[in-house]
Amino acid sequence: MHTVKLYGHFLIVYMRSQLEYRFSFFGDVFVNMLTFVSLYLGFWVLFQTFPSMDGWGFWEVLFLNNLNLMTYATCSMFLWGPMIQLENMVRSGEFDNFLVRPYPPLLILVFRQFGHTFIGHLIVSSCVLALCTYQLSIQWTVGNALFLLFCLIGGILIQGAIMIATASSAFWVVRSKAVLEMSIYTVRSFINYPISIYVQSIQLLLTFLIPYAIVNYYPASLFFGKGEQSALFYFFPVISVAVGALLFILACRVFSRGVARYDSSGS
Amino acid sequence: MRLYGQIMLNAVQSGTTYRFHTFITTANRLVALLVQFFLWTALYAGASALSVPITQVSLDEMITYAVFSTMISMIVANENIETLSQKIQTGNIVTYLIRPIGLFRSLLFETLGTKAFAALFEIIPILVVGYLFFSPAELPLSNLLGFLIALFNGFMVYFLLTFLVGMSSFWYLRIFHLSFVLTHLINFFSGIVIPIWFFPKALYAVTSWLPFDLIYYHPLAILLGKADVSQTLFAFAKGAAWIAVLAAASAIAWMAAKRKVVVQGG
Amino acid sequence: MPAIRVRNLSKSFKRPIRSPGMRGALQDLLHRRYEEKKAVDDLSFDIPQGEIVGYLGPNGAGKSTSIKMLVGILVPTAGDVTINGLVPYKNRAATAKGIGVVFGQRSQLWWDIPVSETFQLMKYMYKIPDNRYKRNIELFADVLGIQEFMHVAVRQLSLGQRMRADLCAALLHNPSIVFLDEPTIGLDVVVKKKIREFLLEVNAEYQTTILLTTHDMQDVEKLCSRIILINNGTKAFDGPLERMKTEFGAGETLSVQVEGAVESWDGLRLLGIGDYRYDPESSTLTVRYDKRESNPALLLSWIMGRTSVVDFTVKPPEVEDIIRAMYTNPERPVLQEVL
Repeated sequence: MHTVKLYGHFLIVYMRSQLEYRFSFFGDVFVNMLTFVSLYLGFWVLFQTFPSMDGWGFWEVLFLNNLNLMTYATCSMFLWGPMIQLENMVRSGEFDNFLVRPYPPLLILVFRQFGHTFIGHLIVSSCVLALCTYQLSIQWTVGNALFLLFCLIGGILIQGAIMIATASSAFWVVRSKAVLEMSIYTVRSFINYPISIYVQSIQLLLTFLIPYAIVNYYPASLFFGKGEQSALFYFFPVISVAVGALLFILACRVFSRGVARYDSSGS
Repeated sequence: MRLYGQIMLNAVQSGTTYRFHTFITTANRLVALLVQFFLWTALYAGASALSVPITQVSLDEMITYAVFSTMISMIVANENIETLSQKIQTGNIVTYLIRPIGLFRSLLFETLGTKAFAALFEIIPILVVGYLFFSPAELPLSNLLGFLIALFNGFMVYFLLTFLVGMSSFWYLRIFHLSFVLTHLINFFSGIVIPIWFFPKALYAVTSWLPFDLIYYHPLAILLGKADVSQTLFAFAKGAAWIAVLAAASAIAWMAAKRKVVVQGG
Repeated sequence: MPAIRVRNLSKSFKRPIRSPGMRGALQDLLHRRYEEKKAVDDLSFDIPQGEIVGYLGPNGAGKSTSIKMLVGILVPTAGDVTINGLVPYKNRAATAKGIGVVFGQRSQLWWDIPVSETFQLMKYMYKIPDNRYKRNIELFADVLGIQEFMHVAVRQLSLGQRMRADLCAALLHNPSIVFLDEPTIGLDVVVKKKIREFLLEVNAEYQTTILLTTHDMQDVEKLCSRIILINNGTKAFDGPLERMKTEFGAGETLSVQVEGAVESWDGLRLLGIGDYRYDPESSTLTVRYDKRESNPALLLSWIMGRTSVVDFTVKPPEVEDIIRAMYTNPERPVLQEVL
């Protein structure tokens, strides 16, 4: 509880210092929203000509992307900044500062900053969710709402786990930022489309090795009743959260292992 | 002339130190190409399953389009926005005020030098991979000349656009905003992934007034033989016109920037 | 129980060996070889609560590495260390509550926000009670004069101000042990004096143990009762400051500004002085000697017998000289300094 309040203090301080540069702040948020315009408009153009993407329609594909976006943005608000900077901090020795505080280093890293630019992403994804609801006539029954909520939580945990685990490579290899960026940009781009379009080996990789597919493809498939339905609809959200939680804990362990072999070789 | 050669050589040599960075970028491009391959295959399969004819271009041609689009990416891409804004922020830009050759020419030849290096380590591997794995359509050699001219235009247009955005660093600190906007305008309006043939009429009209399609769509259309003579000549003319406009804008920007530096002291 | 307890502490680093040339680079790619570098070797000492210890040694001697093990940044390769009874790298959070750290080169403060806000964040982080917080801020204002720049963002502070702010941040939560790595480097005399006063006051009032790394002999003189000297990763000296000065601090420097030139100063050799130099431009003779073998009065009278003396100064040894003296010959230091 005290930790939560502490984060509150940190957030207030951070936001105050960011809002000094008001123009840049809103510029950041706005510019980040452009990513979706180009991506979603691209989908729209494609669907003007092509009737289906492996059985998925335009709004379903949008919904799919939205799950990815929502979970990525939420997780990134807290983790993107610190994880991207980790390589630099480890190499310069600046990471030392995070080891002499009365809290775990990962926590201090997260507390010190906030990805305000991702607020724009969340605004966009909320709007898209509303649009999809309308266009696809989605009924938000308690069951559906809970399904979505749990899948989002699981998705956020998985995105976070992947971010932390790949960033932790900073304690082992020099070019860890590249490893991180390949994961969160390159590999994650696979799930912009329903993974059924890929060969099986890629689908397996995205389900069991770097489980991005659990973030959006499986939830969306089940939600729209693609393929087999049945009891999986009720179990899946729980699986998602369980897998997410497990992976997140594992990722934090990897991070701790990394800290134990930290050399502090920068001066 | 020897000076220009030296600049290019320097860029080639420094290219070797960025080996890892280029490896990552190449890997990223290959993955993107892979995704496009599956995407188009699925889209065309879906269309044929629902008996919707796709008349603009065939699947084979689309795959070729994707392979060569990736290649164009590698030829055209540069880090000049980053380089320029760094030079400006640190103040190193002033050295270009006193050097015998101007900033523009210096940067151009540095870029060309880096591209020569890229040709060896990035472009040829992609072409090899592309041909081995994706078996793209056969291309008549007669299109090649037109393609190369359009490619040169596209290269220059992108170079000038990045130069202008880089220059804005003199006046606007958060260069990342403008750079981002440029990237996304290109991602959508250049035909880098989705060719303009698929654009609805309204968007098509917007695109034709913008320079971005000169970078990807026009060269690729010419290469695939989708552009007849008049369309090809139109592309050349549009290219020349935009290069002139952007070059003039660059010159003005650089003069204004120089004045700012001299007056304000950097 | 001592505040700091170190037993047989060692730290080795594995560094990859870089083979030269193109062929070497390829070889390295296939088969990476490492060399082991021992930064700290079998270090042992106890520091009781309330002591101010000077932690000295040349650069690269292993001081920073050993301190990093003491505060929990590095994990030792061998040996034990406890801080207030806790093993630092195993209990980072708990250890951190009881210690304060200042790295001279790097600030621990938040760059973009005013000093006062950083202190507020520290207050919440370390759960400092209101009255204690207030009292400490008053003390800092009193001795270090920080109220002048409390509202300024850290990145706009001068070096002296930043150092003072760092020091306050480290002591805000009343840690029982403070580790200071070159806290006065690059600062002017006035600020240095303030910091020394401050440290003495904190030590007197709270019995704070202070481990101080410095190259400034004045810091050592004014603050330290005990000296631990580290060289090549091992402990070269551990004892009271007085003992170090008497055993190794025998070199003095006499600078004499003379009126007229003397043909040759080689007569000094007859007095047993080998280390001297004359600068004709400033007309200054600089002589180095062992305090136990000569004295300035003797030298001056010899010089005055040959020319008129305008002015002279006697300089005590720098800590660098003492340390260097300890390495050339620990038994009988011979000053081998070349002027």
